[in-house]
Amino acid sequence: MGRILLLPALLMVTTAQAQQTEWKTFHGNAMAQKYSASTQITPENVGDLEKAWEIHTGDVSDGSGELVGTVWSATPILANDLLYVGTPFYRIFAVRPDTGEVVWTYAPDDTVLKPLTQPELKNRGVTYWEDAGASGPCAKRVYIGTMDAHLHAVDADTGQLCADFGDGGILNVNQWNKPDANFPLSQLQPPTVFRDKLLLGWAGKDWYDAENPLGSVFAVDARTGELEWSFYSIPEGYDGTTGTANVWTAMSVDEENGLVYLPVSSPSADYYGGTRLDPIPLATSVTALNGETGETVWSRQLVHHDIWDYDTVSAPTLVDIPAEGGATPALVQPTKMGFAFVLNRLTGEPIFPIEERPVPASDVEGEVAAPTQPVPTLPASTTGDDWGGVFGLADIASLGYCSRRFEELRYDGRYTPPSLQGTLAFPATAGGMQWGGGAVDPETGIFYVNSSRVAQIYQLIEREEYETMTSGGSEAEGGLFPMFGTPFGFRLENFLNPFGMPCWKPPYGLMTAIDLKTGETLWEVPFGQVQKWGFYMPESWGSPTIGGPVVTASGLIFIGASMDARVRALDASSGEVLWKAQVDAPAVSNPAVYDYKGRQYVVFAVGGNSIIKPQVADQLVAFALPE
Amino acid sequence: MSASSRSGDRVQEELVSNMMAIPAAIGLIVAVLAFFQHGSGIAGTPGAGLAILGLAALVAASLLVGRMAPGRFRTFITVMILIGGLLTLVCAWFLMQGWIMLAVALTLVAWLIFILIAR
Repeated sequence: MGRILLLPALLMVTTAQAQQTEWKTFHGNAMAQKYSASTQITPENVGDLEKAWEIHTGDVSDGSGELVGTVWSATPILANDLLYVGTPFYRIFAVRPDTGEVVWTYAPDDTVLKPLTQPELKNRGVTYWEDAGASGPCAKRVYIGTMDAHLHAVDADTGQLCADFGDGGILNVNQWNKPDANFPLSQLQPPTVFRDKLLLGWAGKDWYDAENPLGSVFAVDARTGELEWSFYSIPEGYDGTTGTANVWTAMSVDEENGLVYLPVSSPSADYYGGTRLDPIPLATSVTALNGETGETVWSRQLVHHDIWDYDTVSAPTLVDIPAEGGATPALVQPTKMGFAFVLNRLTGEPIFPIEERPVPASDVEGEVAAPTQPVPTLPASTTGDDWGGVFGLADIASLGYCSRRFEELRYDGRYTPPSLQGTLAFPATAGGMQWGGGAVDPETGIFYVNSSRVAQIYQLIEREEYETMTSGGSEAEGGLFPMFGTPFGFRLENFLNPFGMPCWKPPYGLMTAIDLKTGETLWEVPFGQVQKWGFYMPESWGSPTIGGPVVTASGLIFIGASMDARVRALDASSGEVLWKAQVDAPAVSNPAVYDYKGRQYVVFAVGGNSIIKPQVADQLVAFALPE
Repeated sequence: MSASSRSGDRVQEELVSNMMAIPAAIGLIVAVLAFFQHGSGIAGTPGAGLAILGLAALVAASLLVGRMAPGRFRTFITVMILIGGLLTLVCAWFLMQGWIMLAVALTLVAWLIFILIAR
């Protein structure tokens, strides 16, 4: 009898441990915690970490040939005894988790490898889903999206298309786009799973026009692809004057409370809001929906009348903050502004007070900037509130260029609106925190997040003058954006001297630990190294980063993300780098950490991103302790 | 000074100049490998190219200086080895290439010996 009673308890414990040490979703779990309970690799032995295996997918382009360049931000998924990863050519690789041996691959037949919305071919991986009540083919599925707005569902064991999904295994997401849309609803971020539904956001090309598809999220049946509900972030009546406020990054899910959390981006045009002066409350917000119906439960706008392209940039991290008398159900929303908004995830109310602070007015005809912006009193911004002044070394090296340029710009602190003379924006659209988001240790309630400190110049250009210029670039890389439908074109550039040196002071990248119980910053250290022409700048300068961290129960943070094409393990108690390894390009993906057959692996998809460095790769590499 | 003594000095100088050239040549090989090796951290970069140029110049100058007759030109080359070596050392430091730094440091040690024995 005792054994009979013990067995279910043992099974529960075993299952719980198995879940904690697997990596079944983009962020490790549905709550976007990026937390691994694995404890084999510790601060004491992490120095012994070695390459366990690596493969090269072949799906890479540096843009010098017929194809544009690639950006690979995929997080590998460990499920069904296989490791799944998508590529920038929209192929799926299923490999053995312990050897990297390729078991099967899936290649779409007729996918367009063209930059339809993004300037590069881009992929953030795949989604895994199991049909709890089914067996046989397609009871377990892997999904991958494409830039031309299709979602492919394949059997997780074989890689064969699941015929009952969409049309022969492929769902045309663009069927829900407006008929005259100027771009497809690109499926670059893998779907978020809520029970038996797939939640689909999309990416677009919102820096080009003012009028764009209205931001939306679609919930489809994971078996059939049938639409179950849809959510729109922009009210009716705005059609024709604005668009986007889409969800282009991952979402997070509170299974227990049936809520899904959407990081909603900014409306278009990105840098001029004169065509959309009435409030759009759900734009640049974190919004909670009822996962079954799609109804809005609560929403909190993080930037009013966003004219800085401060897209809500990553999935909010959900965590029950440990406290006396019971845990607080919270979410942490990282932002490009360097703020981490800590909210009660059931109500949206702030856990630490948020103040509405006066901000500068616009001096551009037709624009009315919001008079105030929400600023959390805690945690402190990781970027600081001021840009810190001209970097003397860059100024001297350029014979005073940085100082002279700064004198020409408008800068009145945070939220200085874009201007005709040029505005110094700090932090700018490049962040602050970026789409990789943060990681939390649910046992301690400590949140770890990397962020960049980048100053950019925002300049509106009269339409007549802009017509004489050549458009190009993307929202994060900089360049000229037409913003058709507004009186202005726009120029975005990093504030660099003629030699490419930043005109603002280092550090350029940070890793920060925040105690969510108090909102206090526990430690903050420069992270990564800037590399230019092969030369590494001092470690104290840090590096701009793309991609996020993973934290383990043993007290380690694993992260790539930096410009110097290295992956690192940091001591979670201090931020000290305990281990690093060179990889083929900046590892701009979030790593996956899992246990398999008694061995702990840390896997990075190494693909690069031209935003931080023009270096690409197709390397999937796993690290583990020696056997 | 006898002819045989002068000849002995020249042999010694040539030997030490070879001692300068050997670590520089090893550094050159390391730099070339790093330039072409994917994952070295500096593959294909202008910085790695600069290190290759610097080390190649060090090898050539080291071999040359031990085989030259004393005079202004040899003095000039000797000083250039020091300047080039230090600049290559700085270059390798910014490239974070420890083996190249070690190679250049050994070359500079040999250069010091050369200075002490050269007439």
